[in-house]
Amino acid sequence: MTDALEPADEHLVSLSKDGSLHAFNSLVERYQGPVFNLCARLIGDRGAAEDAAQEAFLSAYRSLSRFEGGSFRSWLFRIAANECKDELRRRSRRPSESLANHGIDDDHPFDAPDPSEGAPEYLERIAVGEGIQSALMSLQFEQRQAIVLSDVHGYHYEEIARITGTNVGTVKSRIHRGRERLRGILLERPELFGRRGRSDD
Amino acid sequence: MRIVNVLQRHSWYGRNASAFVDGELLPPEVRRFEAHLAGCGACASAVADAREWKALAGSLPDAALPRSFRLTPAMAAAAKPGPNAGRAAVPYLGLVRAGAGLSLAAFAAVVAFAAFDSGGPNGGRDGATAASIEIQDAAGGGATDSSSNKYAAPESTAPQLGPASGGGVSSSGFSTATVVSSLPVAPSAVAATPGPGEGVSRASDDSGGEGGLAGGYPLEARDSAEKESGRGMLVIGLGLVAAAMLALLGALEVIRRIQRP
Repeated sequence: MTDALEPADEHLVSLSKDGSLHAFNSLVERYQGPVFNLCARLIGDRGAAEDAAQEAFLSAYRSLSRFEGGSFRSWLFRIAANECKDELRRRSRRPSESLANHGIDDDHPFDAPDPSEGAPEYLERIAVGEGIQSALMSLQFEQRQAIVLSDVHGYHYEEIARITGTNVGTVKSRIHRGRERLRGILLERPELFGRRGRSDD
Repeated sequence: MRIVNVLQRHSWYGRNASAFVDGELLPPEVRRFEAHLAGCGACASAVADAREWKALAGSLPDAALPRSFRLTPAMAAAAKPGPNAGRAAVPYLGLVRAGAGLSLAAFAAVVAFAAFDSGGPNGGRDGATAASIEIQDAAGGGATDSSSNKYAAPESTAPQLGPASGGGVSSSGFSTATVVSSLPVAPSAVAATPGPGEGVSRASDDSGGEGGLAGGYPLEARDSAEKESGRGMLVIGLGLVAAAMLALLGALEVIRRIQRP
């Protein structure tokens, strides 16, 4: 994750605990991409994900003294996921800020244009991304969290269990049920899903 | 029976299709799964779809970063220990909070009711009790009217209000005379109360119907004391439940703080 010239997380955490904001901001810069990506996939709204990500870093800074080692990234992801859940709860209590009013069609939160691709490819990529995000948002938060951590961020079940504060069996069950639901949703959209699966049969 | 076994075995493959795709099965389980896949089109299709989904999700580009999330010195200075980090791992915290709130509310309601019933207006006493107070008033030379009869005898009401402010109701502090003389009068008794001078005979008639005046006081006192005792037990019980819920809530809060990442 870090090359040989960059200080290890442990060193930066230690400096941060000693009061170095510069060291903590080095950690922020290292992980703000994955953290924002996680928040964006869990919340499905760019503005809300931005709020949650910023809150996650603030919360991490606040509780840094209680970090007792292990993977800093996983610890940060756990805080970020908690912030996302809080953000969704807050918005569900305030209908004016409901995510339903921030349709992902109006704001492409996840895909920046790639200079090397043409407009048709970009538009198709946008459509696929929105279709996947829309399907993800139909899952329960815990299922979505497990699937995003596994399939988008590449975590193993044991690490997901640590991040989510559950056990491996629960993670396995959440991923299985979530994928079953996604399968049901996406098979109805052959432009997104099923082409390769059906051709394999 | 054989069909059930087949379905159960198949259910295992269905449940573990995702784990198989994710490489989370043990080597013997993988071999077992692969052997099953060779002859099961449904499971093969589920595995193919899971792989396709995984490839699709893995191919998603990262969300474009909207801005830097670096903390400014002002943000860092404002950041103080807060309630967010790590609170997800404590189970049933919300349930215990609700339980503690309900227990306290029930406790407060019963205490308030007990205090009101003891010292407040129209406390729901029966006609015989009202009558006995009426007799006492009459015997003491006090004229009864509808307004003064709504409450207990003036000289004995004040001590009765003690438990209301103290929050505890117990029968231990009541003498027989106090219990009898301090009880409020029921509305029916008030409505039936005649004017001055008539009260004694009416009350004597009512009391006499239940065994006479001489024997009425101890029985009423015992009934009242039993009621007070039952109410006291209810208040104490609810108080204990509320205290237990608060203690549990405190313990969970401590665990929550310890478990913060």
